[in-house]
This record gives sequence, C-alpha cells and structure tokens, in this order.
Amino acid sequence: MNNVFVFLFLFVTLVDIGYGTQRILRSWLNHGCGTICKDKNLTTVYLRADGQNDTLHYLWDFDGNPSVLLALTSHSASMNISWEDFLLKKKNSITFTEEPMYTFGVVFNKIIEFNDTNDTALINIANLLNTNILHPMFFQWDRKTLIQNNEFVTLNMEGNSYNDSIMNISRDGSIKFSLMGFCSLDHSEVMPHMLHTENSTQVDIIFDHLQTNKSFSHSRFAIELLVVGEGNPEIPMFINPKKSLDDEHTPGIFEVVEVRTPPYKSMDNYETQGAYLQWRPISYTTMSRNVINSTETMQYPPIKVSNHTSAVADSMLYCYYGDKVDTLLTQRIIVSLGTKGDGFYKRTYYSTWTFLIGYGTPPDEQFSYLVIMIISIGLGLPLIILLGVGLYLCIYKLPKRSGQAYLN
Amino acid sequence: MEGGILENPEATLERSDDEIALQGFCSPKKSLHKVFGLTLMCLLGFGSYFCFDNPGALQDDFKTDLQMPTSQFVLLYSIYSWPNVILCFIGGFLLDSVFGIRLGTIIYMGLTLIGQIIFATGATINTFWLMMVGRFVFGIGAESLAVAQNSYAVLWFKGKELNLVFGLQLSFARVGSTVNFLVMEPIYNYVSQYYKGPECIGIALFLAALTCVISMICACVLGIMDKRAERLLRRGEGQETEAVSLTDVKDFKLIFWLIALICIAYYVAIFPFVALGKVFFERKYAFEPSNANTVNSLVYFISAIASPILGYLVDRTGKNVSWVFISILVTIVAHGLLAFTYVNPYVCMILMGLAYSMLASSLWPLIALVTPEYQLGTAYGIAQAVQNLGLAVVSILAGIIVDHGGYFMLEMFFLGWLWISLITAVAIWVSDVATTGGYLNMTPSQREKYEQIQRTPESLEREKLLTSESTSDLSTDDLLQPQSDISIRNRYLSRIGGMVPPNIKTPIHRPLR
Repeated sequence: MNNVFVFLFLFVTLVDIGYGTQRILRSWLNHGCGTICKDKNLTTVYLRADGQNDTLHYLWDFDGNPSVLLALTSHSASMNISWEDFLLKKKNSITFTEEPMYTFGVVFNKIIEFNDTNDTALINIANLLNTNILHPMFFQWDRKTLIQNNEFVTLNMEGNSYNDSIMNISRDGSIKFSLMGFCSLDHSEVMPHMLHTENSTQVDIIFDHLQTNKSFSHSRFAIELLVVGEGNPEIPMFINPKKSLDDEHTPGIFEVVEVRTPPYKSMDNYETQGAYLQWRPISYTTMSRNVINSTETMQYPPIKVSNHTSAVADSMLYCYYGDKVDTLLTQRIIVSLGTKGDGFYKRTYYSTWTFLIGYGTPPDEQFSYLVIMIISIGLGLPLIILLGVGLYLCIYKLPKRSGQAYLN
Repeated sequence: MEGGILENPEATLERSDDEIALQGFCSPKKSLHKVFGLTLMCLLGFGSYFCFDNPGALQDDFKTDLQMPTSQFVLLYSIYSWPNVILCFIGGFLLDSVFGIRLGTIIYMGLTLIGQIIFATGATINTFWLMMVGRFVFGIGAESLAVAQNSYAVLWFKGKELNLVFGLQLSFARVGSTVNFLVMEPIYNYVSQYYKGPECIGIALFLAALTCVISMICACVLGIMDKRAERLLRRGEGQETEAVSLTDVKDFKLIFWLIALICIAYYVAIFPFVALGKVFFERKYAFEPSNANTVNSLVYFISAIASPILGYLVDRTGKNVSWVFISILVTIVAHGLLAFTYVNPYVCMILMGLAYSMLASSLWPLIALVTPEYQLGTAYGIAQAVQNLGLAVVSILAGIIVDHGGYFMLEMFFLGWLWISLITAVAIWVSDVATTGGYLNMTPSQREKYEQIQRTPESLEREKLLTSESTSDLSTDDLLQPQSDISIRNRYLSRIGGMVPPNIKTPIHRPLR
C-alpha cells in the first residue's frame, strides 16, 4: 500500500504569537491520486501553508522536468489534480477552487555542460560546439526521503542514469535535489544557511560525480531555470547582486543575488506582491560544506522566451497554466557554477547550488544576537571603566591632595 | 660612587689610557660609534628574519622538489613557533643569569646559523625529520636572538633614542623578510641551472645561510665594541652585580604584566589577520588575488618605512602610554571600518600599518622603563614568549572562526581583543599614575626632571645633614636610614611642636617611590 494515497498529515500546534508570522504546514504525497499512482514511480508533493490572512500552495513535481508551482489564495481555496490528465501532461489538469491571487512557477529546465577552454567561467550558449544540453527529465528520479514536521517539509530526490535516447547521450552519476518548505523566518540548517521566510521554498541542487563529456577537457555545469509568473512579459526580470557586511551565516560570502519579477499592471505594489529568487553566489565542491572547498557562481541577464507554451510543455507548469502562459512573464535564467582558476568540475566532481523561491519581499539579514552582544559589551565596558577610574581618582587622589595642601 | 679615592694606582693608570681613548675618533661617546653599533644591531637580526621565511618564498618548489604535502609544509612553521612559547623566556633568562649579553648574542646567533645549516642539509638529502630538527634549532636561536637584540638596544640607547632604535630594528626585520621574498626565487632559478630536485633547494638554502654568517660576524664585532665601550664608559661600575634567579619573575611590577597582556591582545589582532587577510579581501571586496596580496601586505610594508619615523616622534614627545593608547584606538577604527563598512580597504590597511608601527615603537621601550637592567633579558623573553603563545593559539582559533562564523565574526573577535588591549592601556596609565605619578607618560624633559627629583632626596639629605647644626641631635639609626626631605621636615615640625598631618605615613611617599 506504499504508493496508494499516502496521506501525510502534519499539524503544528500554534506556536507563540511572539514568533510573528507563522504558517501551518500540511503536506501530501501524490495528493488524491488513488490507484492510478499504484506501481508508478511518481513524486508530486503538495504543500499547503496556512497563514493568518492567506494560504500558500506549493506543488513540487518530478514528472517531466522538475518544477515548482506557488499559488496564493484565500483560506477557503483548495487544489485539485485530475490525475489521468495530469499524467498525460494535459493542460488545466491542475485547478484551484477559486482563482489564485498570485501564481509563480519555476522549471528546472536544462543542465548545460560547457567546455571552458579559456578558464573564464563564463558560459557562451551560442557556442554549440562547446556546450552540451542535458534535460533533467531524462534522469531516473527516485524519492529518497520525505520529512515532514512542524517546522519544515523536506523532499530529497535523486536523479540517476541519465539517458537521452533522441540525442543518444547517457551519463553516469547523479543529481541530488532537495526541496524545503518552511513555516517561519529563519536560517536554514545547511550551508549556505539562506535566510528564508515563511513564504519561501529552498531548492538545493548537487551535481554528484556526474559524468562529463569525454571530449570536453574543462567541463563546467550551468543550470537553466524557466520562470513563469504574473508580471509584464516585456520587461526583463531584474537581477540584483547585493553586498552585505555580515557573512556570519555563510562564511566568506558577502553577496546575495536577488531576482525580482517586474511590476505588473494588476499589482498595487510589485515589491510585496511579486515573487523572487535569491541565492548566495557560492557553490561548495565537497560534501563537507565550507569556504575552503567552495567556488563561486555566475549569473547572466535573463533571456526572453519566444514560444511560451512549448517552453513549459514538458513540465507540470503546463498542466496548470495551459495556453495562458503566452500572456505571462516567461523568462530563462542561467546560473553557471565555478570561477576562474578553481580547477573545473573535474577537480572534485562535486558542485552545489542553493536558492530560494519566494513570494513577497526577500528578508533582510540582521546582525545576530551574538554580534549585538559583543558590540554592546564593547561599547559598555569603556563606560564602566571610565566610571571605575573616576571612582578611583575620587577615593585615592583627593585625600592625598588635601593632605599636601594642608602641608603647604 | 665616582670618588676614586680608594682605587689602587694601577687602576688609575689604566683609566688615563681610557681617557685618551675617549677623546679619539672611535670614542663610544661619539655618535659615529653609536651609529655603527646600531647598524650592527640591525644586521644582527637580518639573517634570522631572512631565513625564517625561506620556505614561504620557495613554497611551490618545496612542494614539487621535495614532494612535500601542505600539511608537512605547515609543520616547518609550527616547529618554529610552538617551542618558543617557552624557550624564548628561558633564552632571555639565561641571557641575564649565565651568558651575559655579549656571549649570549653570539651563542643564539650560532644556534640560528647551525639550525639553518641543518635545515639546508635536511633539504639536500630530502630527509624531513632532519629539516624539522633544523627549524627547531633555528627557532630557538632566532627568537632568543630577538630578545638579545632588544636588550642590546636598551643597553646602548636607553634614554633619548630608544624608541627610534626599536623602530629601526622592526623596520630592518621587515626588510629582511621582504628581501627574502624578492631574492630567493631568482637564487633558486639560478641554482636550478646546475642542480635538480632536493639538491637545488638545499643549495639555495645554504646560500641563504650566508646571511646568517654575516649576522654572526656582526654579533662578534658588536660584542667586541660593547666590551670596549663598557670599559671606557665604566658602565655598570659601582653597581653590585645582582644575582638573577627565576623567582625574580614574581617581583616584576604589575605594569610589566599589563604590557605583556597588550603584547598578546594587540598582536593577535594583527598577525593572524594578515595571515587570513588575502582571502578576506578577495571575498569581501572582490579583489583580484594579486591586488588582495598587495593590500594585505601593506601593513608590513608601511611598518618598514614608518617605524623609525614614528619611533623618532615618540623619542621627541615621550608620552609612550598615550601613544600606545592612540595606536590601539586607530587599530580599532581600522578593524571597525573593515568589519562594518565598505570603505576602501587600502585606507583601512594604511591606518592599521601606521598604528601597528606606532605601537611597536612605543610599547616595547616601556618594558625597559619598568624593568631593572639586570632583568631585561628575562623581561623581554617573557614578553616575547607570551606574544608567541597568544599568536600560536589565536591563529588556530581564527581559522576555526572563519570556517564556522565567517569573516565578520573574525573581525568581531579581533575587535574584542583590541578592546582588551585598549582597556589594558588605560590600566597601565592608571597604575603608573598611582605608583610613580605618571613617569611612563611624561615628556622626555619631564622624565629628566623626575629622575633628578628621584635622586635628590638622598643627596639633599646628605647635604643637609652635613651642614646642619642639628646633626648631633640625630641618632646613628636615623643617619643610616635614607630619608626624604619631607620626613626631615616633619621631624622639625614635631620638634618645634607643629602638628604633623595625621594621614602622612603612606600617601605622601607614594608618588615618590
């Protein structure tokens, strides 16, 4: 009975109001699928996060190209999947009982391997000779673990034995995917300890000993995301690397890269009503994630997509958006892993990339309590010392002076 | 006691020869003599600073020619620094108690030279343990030699030029290390035309050992000069030779220990920072590696130029404690800018370099001001030992902090240490004001006056006692006791029936002690 309607239910007893905005997480694997999913290797996680004013629905799907759908509705809305149509990748097989206020989708569209002969760490997608495109849907995706508790929901997936029969490419090695949904504002457990809100999902990708193209001597990998959302399709998304002072949570990294959806006519305030992607430009090159074993990531300006429908056709997003996608913002974002002189992917055969998909405004990093404590001690101690010196002078110096005055 | 009445005729004759020598061109009183001595003192350390960083300059060649992994390579530096957490204290103590400054310097220089030769031999035959032995012996010699160098400087220049001399020595140490980085690679390349592999490294290291030979010659010449100067200037005559023992350490003044604390707390915010700085500048400011290296080494580069100049400034103005305080404050500003702003790091590092040079020029001479001459070796030995200890421990800690808490936390850590040293500087000032009335923070002219006053009570009393009519009234006990003018005045007051202030006993004598 393991695949039949595994009902996984999570309940959070309401936590202190002091925590501020909190969401109650509930998640289901292959929600409402029933017997159709039996004996099929399917992983579609539905995560429902109920907040005070609204509900966020997440759908993480690994049928076709891995994809994430985010929808904002009122409390009363629910999501339905017509599984027979869904498995055939038919449009409108995912529906909500009411029209969502906002939706946003990300497809893990391509893995691009490129031969970086000049060690620039910059990908040139126009150079077909030096690039190889792998489609994530040709991996054999297996569900490793699904952890559900009060604070978060984690889905770990592993893609193995890549086989693209059309292009006749097959690869050993694996891609590990880890998706996390959260109930509150906090730093995540694993490096790079991204600061997530209750409105965001963290995606962690590992290229673990993925076989490289034999004819490429200096292989690097890049990831192409396809972003679909409500927003003006004509305006490119805005990529903004921001500097910070504090690298306490991600040692050695002082930058965070933010991608925001452009403003849209129906939005009152695109900053709070849009969506964003966010990551630290770091890629770890060993299992034990630390600064010494890391390299950087590079981002590129978003690329417009000419035919929206065919772009999303191989993913779950088509099942929801259907032909509507033509009027929506649909752009590609490429991020390459590695930097000049890091020895290429072949040095450790291990690369990671971690990013957040969120709704609303990305949270600002704040100084931790430890830092604030140190600063206050630093500023407080001199005051105490001043006081001490003053007292000392009062007690020991004044009597002596009066004594001398008396003598003179 | 310069009376000379009790001296025998031979001694008097000898003295007259000395008088002639004192008038001559090579007189120890002439500044030329001092300048020559100073040059030798600086060159004394050149060899050890040059050879210390030989492995660093030839890092890649060590790894390829000797197939040495990084972990082993790091050990070459650890074996140098760890034993010196204790050994340079012992080295300083032996300098005071057994060897004496001249022989001590030659012995330590000899150890340095022998160590380098063993190291070079070990490299030639590619035997790692022998190289370690070499670095160990080299370390013992070099660190104790630095202590001896300090003692020499104090012995020759205490008074007017000491801060400048300390600055010059520091600057020369940096020059030695810089020259090493510039020269070793070309030397290696030259040697590699004739020899290959371990032999090539070995021979390059033997050539480097020549700098130690030069330093050794300097040590001998300096010893001869010092002996002659001691005889001609009658330095130390009339002073009883004090028996030096290890237990003297407990009698060191509080101020000395506070200075030692600054030696730990301040330097751990400089050296370990520079060690990790290159990557910090690459990460936070997105500098190219070469650019990051430049800005990182700016501290040392500036100190090479600024130390003597700032030393001279301290010589002219005195007020060492204030300068120490200012240096620490400026360093805090520099670290603060690095931690909390994106201000151009060149600005921060220039500030830090200046502050660091100023501190080195004003802090180390303080030890000479609070320690009797016969304990100088021990005192400088201790200061250097605790500094080594602090650096060894904090370097490891700093690495851990960067890995787990990031560079921002590291900066907070350094700022914490700097706060400690700033507070310690205030404590030094308070304690000094309390015990001597602020001798350490006086201008040179104030210090001179202070020293005169210090001398006067006894001489004044003696004069008074010899001329006064009331001599006969005094018991012999009173005469044997050294007394201050105040106590004599009090005695008069009590005799004529005046009232003696009741709280007189302790507080009044306090600042004069």
